Amino acid sequence: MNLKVSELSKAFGSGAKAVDSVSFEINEPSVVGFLGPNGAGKTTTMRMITGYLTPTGGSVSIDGETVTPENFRLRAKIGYLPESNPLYTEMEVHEYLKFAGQLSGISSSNTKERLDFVVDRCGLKEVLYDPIYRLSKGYKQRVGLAQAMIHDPEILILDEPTSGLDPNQVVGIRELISELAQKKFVVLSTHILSEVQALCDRVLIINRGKLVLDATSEDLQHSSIGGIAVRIKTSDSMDTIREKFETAFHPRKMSAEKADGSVSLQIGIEDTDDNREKVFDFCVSNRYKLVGLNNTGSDLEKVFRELTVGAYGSGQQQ
Amino acid sequence: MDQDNSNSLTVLLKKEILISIKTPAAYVVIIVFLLISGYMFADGLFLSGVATLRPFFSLSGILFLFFIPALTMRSFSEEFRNGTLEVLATHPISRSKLVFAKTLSSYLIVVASLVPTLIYFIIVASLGHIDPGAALAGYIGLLFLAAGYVSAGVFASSLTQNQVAAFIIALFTLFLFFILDKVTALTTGSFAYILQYASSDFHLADFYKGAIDLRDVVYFCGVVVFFTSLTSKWLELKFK
Repeated sequence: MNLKVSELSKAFGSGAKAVDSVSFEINEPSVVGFLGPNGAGKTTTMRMITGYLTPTGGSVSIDGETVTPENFRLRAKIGYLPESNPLYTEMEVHEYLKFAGQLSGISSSNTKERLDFVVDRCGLKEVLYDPIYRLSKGYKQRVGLAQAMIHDPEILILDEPTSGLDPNQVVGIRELISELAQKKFVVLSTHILSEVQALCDRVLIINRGKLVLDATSEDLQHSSIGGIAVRIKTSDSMDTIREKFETAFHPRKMSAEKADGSVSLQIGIEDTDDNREKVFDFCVSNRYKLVGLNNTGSDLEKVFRELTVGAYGSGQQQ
Repeated sequence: MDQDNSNSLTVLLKKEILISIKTPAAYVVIIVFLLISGYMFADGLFLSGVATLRPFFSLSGILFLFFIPALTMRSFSEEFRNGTLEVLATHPISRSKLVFAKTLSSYLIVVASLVPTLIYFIIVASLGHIDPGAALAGYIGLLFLAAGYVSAGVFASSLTQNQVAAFIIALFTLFLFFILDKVTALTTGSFAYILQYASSDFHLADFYKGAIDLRDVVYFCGVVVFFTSLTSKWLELKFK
């Protein structure tokens, strides 16, 4: 299997490009996370992959065959959970899932088997005969997911699969997605960074319609600075400060910037209690007045902000 | 181009009917239609003392102007508003089948709501001599009219996600078709004839008289084909 998105573009009536030359390729079962601020073009891209929207440029192909609205055989290989999870709330869960399955072309003898499978996997047994409008948000989301996988598609496109769920439900859905990704291509979108770290093998960051990052999660761990953030007050020059810190800690990366009479540094070393003590001692011995000492939170968060806002520190240094 | 799965029409139709059965809106509309037509029928019958269904037929033609838009208004509008059209459109089904299923399901509801009115026929027949041929032709006329109106109503519904707007657009369109032959006095010659031919009420008159004219049949079939293909085309354009 191979899913290839090449030079995909979409311009709407106003001429503004919602998606601008996005290209990527997926060759093995995995979870690919589509990350970006709201309105970045995630949903539009996903809609084009499913064939719901026709691209104004570029193409999506599965095993070398182009996805078009008319290519039904190809489109049946895709399972899709749209954003905001639209459902026919009047229907009962089993009615809706059977409907979705038959609409995808699975035979009625297979429907029963597939229904049992998705009901079991998505934990829908106890609500199977309830009308959808009566279900909690978590259950509704699971119904949406079950709908996407009822016809056993090879590719699952999930637009914000965990939005609006409570933390326990989020964990449940993530476990399910990870399990599915052992055999299927899963492309999911989110703006929750921790979700990407918890779930995705690969991250695509999209901003203003353009793909600004395509990296494996491991690469990402190493590429950003991470580590420890220090804020000090001193009369030393920026160069001196930088030099001293570099000789003392040999960080894999470091940045320094001056703001409001203090200097903020980001030191790319392992963020452990031990290292924080060392930084503290170092500041004391250099007579730097320490005003802040923090771990930096998620690495991805920084990458994300750098790429989508472009406002991460002017004194950044490689 | 690939073919979609062959039973998708049945699947879609089943879903449409299932949802109609589960929502109270359709029942309310049908009951109101039956109450009004029943009241007017009874009223007219005892006043005129003539054993005929013609007043009922022409009244139904007018009631359809409101009744059918009320039934079709949710058809596509509701799918747009809830976003469920995206679910449908990402399944391997053709748009024309979707439009056909929507039109047919609404049509079947109209047909179902006409079934109880057969009692009017029985009442009239028990009171005096009724021409069964004319009654049959009248019903066939109503069925053709309903098909045309439903397809126009479904088209109106595909234009907006607001059900009230869909109702008003449909009502306005149908009213226009209804009124056309009433304004022919203002024009002359071939234009008057065109107006007359385009009018739905004009074509119904023959049915009510008991005659099934091929031209009338062609007219209503044409209306159905026109609006259903317009709806398919419009949906196609909308999601480019």
